[in-house]
Amino acid sequence: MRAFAIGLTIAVVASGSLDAQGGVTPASSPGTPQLGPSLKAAVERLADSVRVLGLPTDPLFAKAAEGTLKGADEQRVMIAVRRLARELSDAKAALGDGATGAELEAGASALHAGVAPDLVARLGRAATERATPSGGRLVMPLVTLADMVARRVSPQAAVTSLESLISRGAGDAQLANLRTDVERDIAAGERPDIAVQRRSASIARGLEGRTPPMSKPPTG
Amino acid sequence: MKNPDPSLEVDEPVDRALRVAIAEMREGIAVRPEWRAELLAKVPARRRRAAIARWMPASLAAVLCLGLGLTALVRWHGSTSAIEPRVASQVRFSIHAPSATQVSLVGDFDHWDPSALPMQRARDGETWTLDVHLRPGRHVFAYAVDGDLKTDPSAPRAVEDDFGVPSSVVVVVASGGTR
Repeated sequence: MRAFAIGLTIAVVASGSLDAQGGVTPASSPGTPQLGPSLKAAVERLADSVRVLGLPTDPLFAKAAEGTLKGADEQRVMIAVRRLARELSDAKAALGDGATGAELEAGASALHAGVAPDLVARLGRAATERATPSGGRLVMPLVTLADMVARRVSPQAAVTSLESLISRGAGDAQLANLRTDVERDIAAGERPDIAVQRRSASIARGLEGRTPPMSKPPTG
Repeated sequence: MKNPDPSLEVDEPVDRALRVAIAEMREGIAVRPEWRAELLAKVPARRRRAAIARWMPASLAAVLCLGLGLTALVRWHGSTSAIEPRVASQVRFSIHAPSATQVSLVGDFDHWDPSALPMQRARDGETWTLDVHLRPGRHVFAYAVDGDLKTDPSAPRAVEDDFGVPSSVVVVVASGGTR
């Protein structure tokens, strides 16, 4: 018994030290203590109807909590929450029933930035076709699209560049690099569409250099 | 009876003495009943102690391995794989706020609750940091510095500004990095 207690203590201490190095994990279902009763009831009613549609409800509570913390009145908070619910619904229509909650949130952010639903759907199809078994296929393309459009890249140019990179096997890391590089170029004065074309071409060249060229069959 | 081996022949008195000694040894040693009870009471205790001594290193090692194994499993799940949508990657948040007395991280991941993720003052006394596990994707966040919301100067601004107060964005890549 004493031996077991000693062993357990050592194991817990070892786990604790490893965990201390690893950082904290937010609660999987954080509460919303800051919401007033009437606002909370209104969000819960909306969440009930959204849940029936198979949409994630957590972003709605997070949006309401954000508005409350930022000092917005309840009417303004509910306008933002309803808009988000509509964008999540539109994202699901564009991306299909198979989209995960994170992908729907990313799609909603692209729609919020001003991307038309048909372009979101187009990018979603391109990313799905090149999806790997590792999953998480749509989040980064959609996040990259949303952020580039928010920085005045035209949606058409952004989607075309992303489609091109995805078809060449670009992964999340390359898309994230594109996002930061384009943002830096625009901040430096580059025209947004030129920046995205130039940067995506550069990444595409890198991807082509990564794979060995196909040998031509002998002719003649 | 004649001994078949002549070399083993012994004198009659010696033979008699040997027979007596063997008979006494076969009878066993007479022990007082109270000693016997005391002796028997001690034997199981010694056996238990011996068993503990024998199994203690093994049980210690097993428990340690179990604990470390579970920890490694949790950390592996929380590191880089994108197979499970709920995997998380570690992100270090930091803000320079030398005169602040209380700083916390708020964002969609903690429902903008200033009490959920308090940050720690670093050794330099001026920077506040916090390591957080976030799942891959895009997260909107800000810092609550003594009650005021501040954006992260090193992170992009969020495009959605529904409430007139800007936020920052962090993107957690499935391969474990942040952008």
